[in-house]
Amino acid sequence: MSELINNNKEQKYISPEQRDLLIEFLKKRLDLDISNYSLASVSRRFTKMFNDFESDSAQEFISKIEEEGSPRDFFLKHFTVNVTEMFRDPGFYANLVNLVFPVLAQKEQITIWSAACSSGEEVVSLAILLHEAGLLDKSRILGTDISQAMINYAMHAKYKVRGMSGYDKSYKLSGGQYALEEYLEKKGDYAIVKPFLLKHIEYAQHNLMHEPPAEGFDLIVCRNVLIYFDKDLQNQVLSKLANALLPGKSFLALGSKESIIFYNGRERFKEIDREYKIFQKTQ
Amino acid sequence: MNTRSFKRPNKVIVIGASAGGVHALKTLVSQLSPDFPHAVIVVLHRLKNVTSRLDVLLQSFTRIPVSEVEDKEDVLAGRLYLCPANYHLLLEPDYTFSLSVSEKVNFSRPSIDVSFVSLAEAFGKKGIGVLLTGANQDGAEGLLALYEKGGRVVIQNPETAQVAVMPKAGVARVPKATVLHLEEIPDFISNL
Ligand SMILES: C[S@@+](CC[C@H](N)C(=O)[O-])C[C@H]1O[C@@H](n2cnc3c(N)ncnc32)[C@H](O)[C@@H]1O
Repeated sequence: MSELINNNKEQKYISPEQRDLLIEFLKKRLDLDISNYSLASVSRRFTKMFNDFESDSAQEFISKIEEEGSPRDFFLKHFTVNVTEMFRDPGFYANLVNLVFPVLAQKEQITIWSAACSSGEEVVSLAILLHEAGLLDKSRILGTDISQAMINYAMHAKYKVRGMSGYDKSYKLSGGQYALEEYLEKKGDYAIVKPFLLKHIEYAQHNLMHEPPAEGFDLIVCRNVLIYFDKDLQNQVLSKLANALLPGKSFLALGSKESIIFYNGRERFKEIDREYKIFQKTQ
Repeated sequence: MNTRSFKRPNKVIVIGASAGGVHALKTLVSQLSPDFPHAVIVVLHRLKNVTSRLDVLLQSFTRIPVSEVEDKEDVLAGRLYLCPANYHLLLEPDYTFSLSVSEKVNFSRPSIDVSFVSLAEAFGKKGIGVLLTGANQDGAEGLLALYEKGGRVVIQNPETAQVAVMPKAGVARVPKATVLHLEEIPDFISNL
């Protein structure tokens, strides 16, 4: 088996055959269909996992994850790219506040879905800015992610202080008016999100390939996950997101390098921010 | 009049550069002819949060259309693509780009290694990797992966590079690489 892996001194790269074996296993045994994920990305993640777990073949790797209590959660924890930040792309948040919040302000209630929220930094960032705009009291934010490990993390609402350098600057660049300490209580090495924000936040595990967790959202923020999908899956997911938005006066925000051009129903949206990919649903 | 082609490229060329890279790239792109039959993809280390428009800058030195990559965009002949800051750039076998925000590699995102490895896997012999000036070792490992898959490996002569560390690391990892002066590289890749 090991001849299928290129065994040079430092890095082993997974072969297409091994990759396909693993994709097949995930679908059949873990009920996880990643056949429409970006191939190049999948290869990279598999290669990384094989190296981390010192597996020389798909078989060996599969045996290792089958020993885990929850193979699916274990696999997803290591497979998914969970890198996130508070106020990632400050320009995005600033434009959201300027272009979208005034429309939301006119509503009686605001429901927001942060889809693929990873460990929740995006959700906390949104809550902070809603608070500063005087909108938090009528808002509910739902954060979801396919990875249960990430959802657990997000629910703890506890972030390592060490990882937070730079967040203050991004917060200010996003238009933040005070200081992050107003929202995060420092306890030793951790910063804990204060209850007055958490009151408006909910987390749940959810796969974007399935039906949305609710309907009638005013804003869906779905950033930096479509890049891991091929065009087909982007189309399917965007169609589900579009349906989960309220008709009229509702918004969709994607990652800066993502787009709706692979969505067959893209004429349902009007682009309101080209640089930061904010769209308004029109039909 | 710019008649843009929508053809698949003959070869897919990834150029990696770091410190001193902008200057080297100006020289390089200004010598590419507009009917260039390959795709050129530039992966340059940039400082975080630098917003200077590299696409605008490089466009002023070439008639080849220059643009920053969007996810799942097509890889076309006669185009110059720039990897966006803070994303890794990957190539798909169906001639599209994928971006990723995964962990930094060699303390960098984008990482040149990541793009070279994905070039090797997606295009093998059709892949060309070019490593220019830089002050770290990113790219060397990926060049080896490309070389092993039959792709061409071109490295800027370390003696003439503004910063020699990166091309030196490349030559150490792939001793059989084609080592060229910066001014020779455009001709070399045009005649592939
Ligand atoms: C790079 S993070 C994005 C986090 C945040 N939105 C941001 O932009 O910073 C991508 C997230 O997508 C999640 N993900 C991947 N596939 C998914 C799917 N099919 N459904 C829901 N979430 C998914 C991963 O678990 C990961 O946490």
